[in-house]
Amino acid sequence: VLPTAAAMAVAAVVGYAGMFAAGVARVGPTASYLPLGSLLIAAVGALSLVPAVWLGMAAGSRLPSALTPPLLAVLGVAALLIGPELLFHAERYGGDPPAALLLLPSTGVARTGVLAEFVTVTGRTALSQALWLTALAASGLAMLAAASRGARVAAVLPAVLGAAVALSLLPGTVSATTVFDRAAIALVCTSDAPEVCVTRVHAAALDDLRGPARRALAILAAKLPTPPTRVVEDYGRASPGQQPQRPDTILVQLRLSTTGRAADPPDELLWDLLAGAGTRPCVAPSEASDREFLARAAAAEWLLGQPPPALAAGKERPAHPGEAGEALTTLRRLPAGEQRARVAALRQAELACDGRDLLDILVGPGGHR
Amino acid sequence: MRWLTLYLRSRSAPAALVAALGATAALWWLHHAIDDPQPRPLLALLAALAGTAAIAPGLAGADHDLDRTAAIAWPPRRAAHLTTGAAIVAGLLAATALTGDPFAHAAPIARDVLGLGGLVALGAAILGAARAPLLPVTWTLLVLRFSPALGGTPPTRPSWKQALTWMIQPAGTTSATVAAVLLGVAGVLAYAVFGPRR
Repeated sequence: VLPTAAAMAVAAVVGYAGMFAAGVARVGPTASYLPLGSLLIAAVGALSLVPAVWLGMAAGSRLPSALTPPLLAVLGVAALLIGPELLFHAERYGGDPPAALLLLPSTGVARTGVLAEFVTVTGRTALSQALWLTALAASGLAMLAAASRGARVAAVLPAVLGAAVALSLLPGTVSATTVFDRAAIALVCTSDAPEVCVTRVHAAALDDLRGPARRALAILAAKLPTPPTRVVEDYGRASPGQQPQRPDTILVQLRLSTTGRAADPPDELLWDLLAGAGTRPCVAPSEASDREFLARAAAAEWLLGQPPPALAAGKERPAHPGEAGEALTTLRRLPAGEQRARVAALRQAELACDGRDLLDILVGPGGHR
Repeated sequence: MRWLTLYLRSRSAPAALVAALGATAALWWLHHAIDDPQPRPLLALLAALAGTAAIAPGLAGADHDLDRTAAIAWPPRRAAHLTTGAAIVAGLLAATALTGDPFAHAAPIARDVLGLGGLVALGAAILGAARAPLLPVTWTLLVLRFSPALGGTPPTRPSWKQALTWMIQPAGTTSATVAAVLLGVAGVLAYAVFGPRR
């Protein structure tokens, strides 16, 4: 039994390593950051195949039928798909299910939390997963080798023990199992002023951001008092918005293409940089009202002196071009000094995240005070 | 009648029926238990996959050489076996409508059973009956990651990509339907003419 089981396990792990190598070869040319921790995460992934193989072999030896493999595969996928949903229904846990979810083969975890490239799994989490998978593999092997009923019952013990240890090691919720990878979000900046910075994982996109970023800084410097002097990539937060930002920095989120370069053309990047007069929105895009969006767009158009670029593929803007134009027309009817003061006030309000209505600040009758 | 009974027994049809029934029931229960509507079409597909896979072992007899010595016309009988099996699977899936919470509409059920049944038959002709489900199961599991239920988006163009992901395309997608029909027809023909590989 043992040589066959070992050969199957090695084959599965080699297959996993092959997939990993293919992925590395694909991102290699543009990747700028390969932490050792990611290899550890991949190693846990490879380890996860061993219990899968051995449990499958055990099932096959208990139910030796041509029907076992396909039905096991289909029911396994269904359980993987629905199991976490049934056990840890996301809404019941306010979108942050218990970390025990990480002990199940599940695809749901990737949907929670912040952008995946900036975070890493804590060592404790990886360790508890590795322990659980090892215990499960031991159970699978014991089940495969067990000859008597008593031995088969005993074979369950390692899995139970492993689950208990892993659960005691894991933090309470899924969100606590990942932390920002300090090295991944370290900034890579241009050597010459004005400074433009991206995160280390996105270093390949620095060349794409530099031009639009400097144009945005020049436009803001020409049109507003106390303009920002540097552009820094925003790596996102678990709960977006609500945090004041520094007045000397434009924070911008980058969308990357599959080659690691910026996915948006320069004029789209410029528009993103100038939206809200060079500020990050205080409210998550999904929660932002039309008024906030309109005000931010009108401010960008006032600064740029031209309407937004045609929409890039895969990007969405709430569709109210007419209303943004209306706000802009109202703004442009004001005296030049007042226009400038209003846009500057909008910028201040967004920097401070003080919750004031942006459209009122920009075109309201009361003035910008 | 006696011939039919013996034939069905020799091809372990009762076991296949029980397996298809059990898998359909289990998947329907999952389908019924969740509130999230997103993975539901996928469960119908998986039920079709399990049901058609259950047909596979019966596509060959215990003794290939013994079957060959029979002085009967095998092709129509093989075609009948296959189409009856697929019809029963489709009927099982459609019968979930009786519970008031059907798996899916008739059109996607028919498409999935037709295409996957054809793949099982092709698998039996190419790989042998025992390994026949490898073809539909591997293909389906490979394209599953494009399914909306797993956070993916099925390709909408070009049509060959639609055809490659036919089982997860929305019902009524022309190239997906064409792919399923082609696979079904090719499977029935290949299995009826060549029989199971030994």
